[in-house]
Amino acid sequence: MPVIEVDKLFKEYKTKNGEKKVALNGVSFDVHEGEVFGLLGPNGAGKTTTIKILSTLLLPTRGSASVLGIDVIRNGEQVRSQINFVYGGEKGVYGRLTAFEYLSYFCVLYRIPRKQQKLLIDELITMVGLEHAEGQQIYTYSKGMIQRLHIARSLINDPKVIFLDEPTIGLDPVGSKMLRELIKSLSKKGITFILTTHYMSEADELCDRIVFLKNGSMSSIGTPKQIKEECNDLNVFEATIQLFDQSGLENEELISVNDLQHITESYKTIKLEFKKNLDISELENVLKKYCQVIKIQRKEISLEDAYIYLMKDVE
Amino acid sequence: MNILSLIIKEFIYFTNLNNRIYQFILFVQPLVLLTIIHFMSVMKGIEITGPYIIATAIVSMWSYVLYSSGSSLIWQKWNDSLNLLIAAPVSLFQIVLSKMLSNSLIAFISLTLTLFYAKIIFSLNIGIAHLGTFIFTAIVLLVSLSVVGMFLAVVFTTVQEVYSFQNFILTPVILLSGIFIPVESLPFTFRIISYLLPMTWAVESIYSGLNETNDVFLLAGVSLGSSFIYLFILFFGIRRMEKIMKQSGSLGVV
Amino acid sequence: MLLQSRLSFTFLSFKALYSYNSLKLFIFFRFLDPFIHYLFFAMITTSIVGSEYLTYVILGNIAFYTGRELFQNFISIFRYERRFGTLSLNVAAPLPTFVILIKKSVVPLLDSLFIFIISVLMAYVMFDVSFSWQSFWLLCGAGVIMVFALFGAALLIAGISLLFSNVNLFVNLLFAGFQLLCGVNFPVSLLPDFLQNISNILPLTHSVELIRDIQAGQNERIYHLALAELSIGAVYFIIAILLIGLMEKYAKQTGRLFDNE
Ligand SMILES: Nc1ncnc2c1ncn2[C@@H]1O[C@H](COP(=O)(O)OP(=O)(O)OP(=O)(O)O)[C@@H](O)[C@H]1O
Ligand SMILES: [Mg+2]
Repeated sequence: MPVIEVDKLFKEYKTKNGEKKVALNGVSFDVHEGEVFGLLGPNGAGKTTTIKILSTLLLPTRGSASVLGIDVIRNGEQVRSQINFVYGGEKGVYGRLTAFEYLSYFCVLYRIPRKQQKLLIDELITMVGLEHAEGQQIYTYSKGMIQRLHIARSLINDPKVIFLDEPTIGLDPVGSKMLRELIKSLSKKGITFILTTHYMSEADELCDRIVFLKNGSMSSIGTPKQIKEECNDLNVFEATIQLFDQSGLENEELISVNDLQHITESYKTIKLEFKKNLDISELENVLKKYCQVIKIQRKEISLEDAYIYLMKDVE
Repeated sequence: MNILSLIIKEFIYFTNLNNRIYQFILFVQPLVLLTIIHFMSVMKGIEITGPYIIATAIVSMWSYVLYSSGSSLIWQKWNDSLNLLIAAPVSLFQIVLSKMLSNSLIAFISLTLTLFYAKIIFSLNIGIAHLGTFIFTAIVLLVSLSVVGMFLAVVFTTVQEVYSFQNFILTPVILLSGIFIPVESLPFTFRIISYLLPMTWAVESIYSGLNETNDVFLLAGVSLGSSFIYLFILFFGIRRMEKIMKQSGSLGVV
Repeated sequence: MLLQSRLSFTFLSFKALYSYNSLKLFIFFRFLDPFIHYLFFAMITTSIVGSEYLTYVILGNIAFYTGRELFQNFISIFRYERRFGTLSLNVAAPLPTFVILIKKSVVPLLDSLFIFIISVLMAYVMFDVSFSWQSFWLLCGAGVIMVFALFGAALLIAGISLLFSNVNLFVNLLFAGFQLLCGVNFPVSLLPDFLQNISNILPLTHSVELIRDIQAGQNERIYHLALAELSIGAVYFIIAILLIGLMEKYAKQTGRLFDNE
């Protein structure tokens, strides 16, 4: 049985000026135990909305959702002790408390018995690497330290499901690597994650499955590999060129230039996309009309390429 | 021209309906105070006389001036606009001066409003014998209130958490300047501070105007004189502040 | 033991949310500020109606000031939680919102009681308000009753304050209303009839009378007054709980209230 079941979720917000805004338009997916499930999509796609509904902070307009077999819309309270969440960013802390105090505070809210608290908190603080700052007031923390603290908080009730909404925002490379390792090891222990992020490589590395949201609807779902394969008809090439007719290149109908980068004054790399299935030598011939081709190769599709391809028509 | 446009800007900001706290101080607070005083006098079975109405009005004016001048510099500092203003062709003293003038203008509205409330809502007899004298003394008072308000505002910029501390100045100054309780009945040390405040003289001058005694203009003169001394000190204080700010880039070290 | 109490929920919510965390601020806001407030009204009273009314007005203002600070504390706690973005974290925890609210209320309630007692002592020492030892204990009892009776109204007001983007005007108008309608500076009986009806269902009104009766050593009405105040308080409490429940629902439907600003 899936740990999370989402069925035809529909959410309509009323904005302040009385208009209606559809944030989710029939989203359905299942997540299995121990899976890391990614919600990806552009700003305003409905990722946070989905997470808020699943973490019992928001009610959908229609549709159903259950976590650990419990209906989060009707019986939200029952599931709260078994889930937890992190919303990225610097909010959500009491600046005057120390990390230790902050976690003690949430121990009470999550009904952790007094006797276990100290041990648990020490363990969590070590896990996220905040030992050196444990007794410092939180307002002195950097963004990344606050982020780590949030992660520690989200583990306080030994949750079976954790929702992470852009958890690596503001983390330095070491911090985000730490978080990725943590997520991997926890998911091996059977903890289920739902994750949103705008970093595609992160999603690619972590997620077992991904759903792409676009204006509140699902555009594709599957493992990162499947999603990349979906874009196989997409021919992406990378070329290093010396350009002499830029406007001609830009107007060429057979190819579209995705990304033009200047290496030096005259040398550039470009990412090209082909509409038809041409082979590499034919492509080179087209290019030669506008530039001198120094190097050209077919590029392996990354999740980012897939994302850009799939989200093309989002304004 | 600059000063004029600054005054207009200040005036618009502080009478702007979005500026809720000032709306309250300007329009509601005098009414509340008058209501309290009215019912207190009913409780005792006496009539409220002119000086008490004027006293209420002065309290409203002073609250307004204090809150507005106390917050003005802070407000600008918070918005980082002070740096811009300093870079601007207007001097800080001019800014402060325009602030003071606009304050006086609004405080004058506050005075009129209180008298209006007293007359219309509570049908009290204010009993101003010589309107001309009254207006003259009221203007003297406004000058002294604004100068002291600004003086404190400049002191405030050097203190943190200003907002919370304004109350600690409001009442003591009301007490010391003899608005409700005659200065003579205060202990000696307090009396000295009282006479150092220009508004004490202005208040006394207003009251003696109401009582038609003839030291009105002498008292008004003393008040104006001491106001100018404060203004003078203010001028040099601000010049110094400007210098320090330009060197250190902040107000924090004054 | 020490560690235990330093990590108690009450202490932590105090440390997290209370605005006077230093001794200086504590002295300013728990001694000087009430004193200044009483001084202002003492000044007006002596000047306009004479010092024989001083005790009357000071006692009224003790009740008013205590109540005002209680309301203010609840309002700022609610608003801090929202500004910090911790409101939603609290709401989403398994402990029911109601229980969290009650736990968090311990500090402001105790604080208000402290203000009340300090004020009573201040009145005795500085404003010549005299009473016997026995009355002092009764006064403390009245303080406890008042603080409890105002609890519901405080929750209600704090809840409503979340609906305003700029709370200052609302708060100031509200306090002005309490000051005029609850017999703080003059008896309610002087007000027009329809306002008297409002006064009688406001919290604070009966406490003000209760405190005055106790100080004057007139103990005939005190149980009646205490009961009336507590019943009114209970009604407000129920309304507050209903309102907060509704607001939680509203927040869950609209996605607002928890973390804007
Ligand atoms: N409380 C609200 N009231 C009205 N509209 C809202 C509210 N919250 C979100 N929306 C709207 O719903 C849509 C989806 O928002 P949501 O926060 O779920 O997006 P998101 O995918 O998390 O975006 P981002 O990547 O920027 O975090 C957006 O258009 C947003 O403007
Ligand atoms: Mg989001």
